[in-house]
Order: sequence, then C-alpha cells, then structure tokens
Amino acid sequence: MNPNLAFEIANLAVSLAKTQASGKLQQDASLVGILLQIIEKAVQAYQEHTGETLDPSLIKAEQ
Amino acid sequence: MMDFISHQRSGIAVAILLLLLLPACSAHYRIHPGALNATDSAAYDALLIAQTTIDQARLQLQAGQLPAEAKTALDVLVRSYNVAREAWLTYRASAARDNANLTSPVYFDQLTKNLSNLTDAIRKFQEVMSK
Repeated sequence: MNPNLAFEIANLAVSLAKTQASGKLQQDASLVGILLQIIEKAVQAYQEHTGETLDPSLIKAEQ
Repeated sequence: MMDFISHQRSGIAVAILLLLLLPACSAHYRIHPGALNATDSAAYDALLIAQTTIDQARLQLQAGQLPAEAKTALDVLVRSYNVAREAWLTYRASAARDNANLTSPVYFDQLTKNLSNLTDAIRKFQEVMSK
C-alpha cells in the first residue's frame, strides 16, 4: 500500500464532477448535490487533519 | 435550477481543487506526527475519509434525501469500514509491539486488502447514488 490510497478515494470526486459536467446526471440534480456534499465533507475532513497528530480515538467503529 | 447550478459549481470547484492538490499531495505526502510509519498514516487518512462519508451519508439517508438503494450500499460500506478499522488496529498493535518497519507482512497484507475493499465499497456507494 502507498499513501496514494486516500487520494484514490478523493479522486472519485473528480470522476463524478466530470460525469456531471457531461450532463448525464442533470436529470437528478438534487441527488448529485447531496452526493457532492458527502464528498466535500470527506475531503474537508481529510484536509483538516493533514499535518495533525494521528489520533486513533477519532476512528470509531460504526454501528 | 439555481440549486443545480450552485451544486455543479461546487462540484467543479472540488474537482479543480483536487486536481491541483493531488499531484502535490502524492509527491509530498505528509505523514501524521505520531504515526508509526507511512502505512499507518495513510490508513488513518483513508479511514477518516470513509468514516466521514458514512456519517454524512447516514444523515442524508435519515433525512430521506437518498434513494432506498443507497441503504444497502451504505451497509456494505459500514461493514467494509469496520473490517478495515480492525485490520488497522491490529496492524498498529503489531507495529508498536515490534519494530514499526519489521511488522509481520501478514498484518500489512491484510490491512492493504481491507483498505482496498473499503475503497471499492465507497466507489460502489457513489455509483449507486449517481445511477
């Protein structure tokens, strides 16, 4: 594994935006907006923790 | 219509930002202080992104803003996340116990496999949503 794995996840946002720009998803704009919100939150979380001390307690089990 | 244009702009803004940041980030990846090694740090980032995706998607689902099919994909994503998290914790414990650079390849391979599955689960979740 290399450090690019996190960026691979973030890269999904790029492919989605390209699809969106092509017009394929214009029929359901609100859903696209919600998906983009999710992606933006994930990218934001990543960026906010860049350079910060690793804190394992932040990585919680999901129910 | 205005909402869509706004969303489209924000999406494109994210894409442009990522396109600008990704080459620099991959070339100059900053390992988190306190991380045992680069693997530990990158796994932490991937899990953080996945966890935020899950939490945010769950909120949207509860608000009725996602299609019913998203629930199944989200469940798969949650399972993949929890498995990857366990593998990461096991890897960390092993690396802390032994030398961080001499950790058993078994733990490393398991972590790599589980994080790869997690990435696939995120991708599938997004595919379901964008169908």
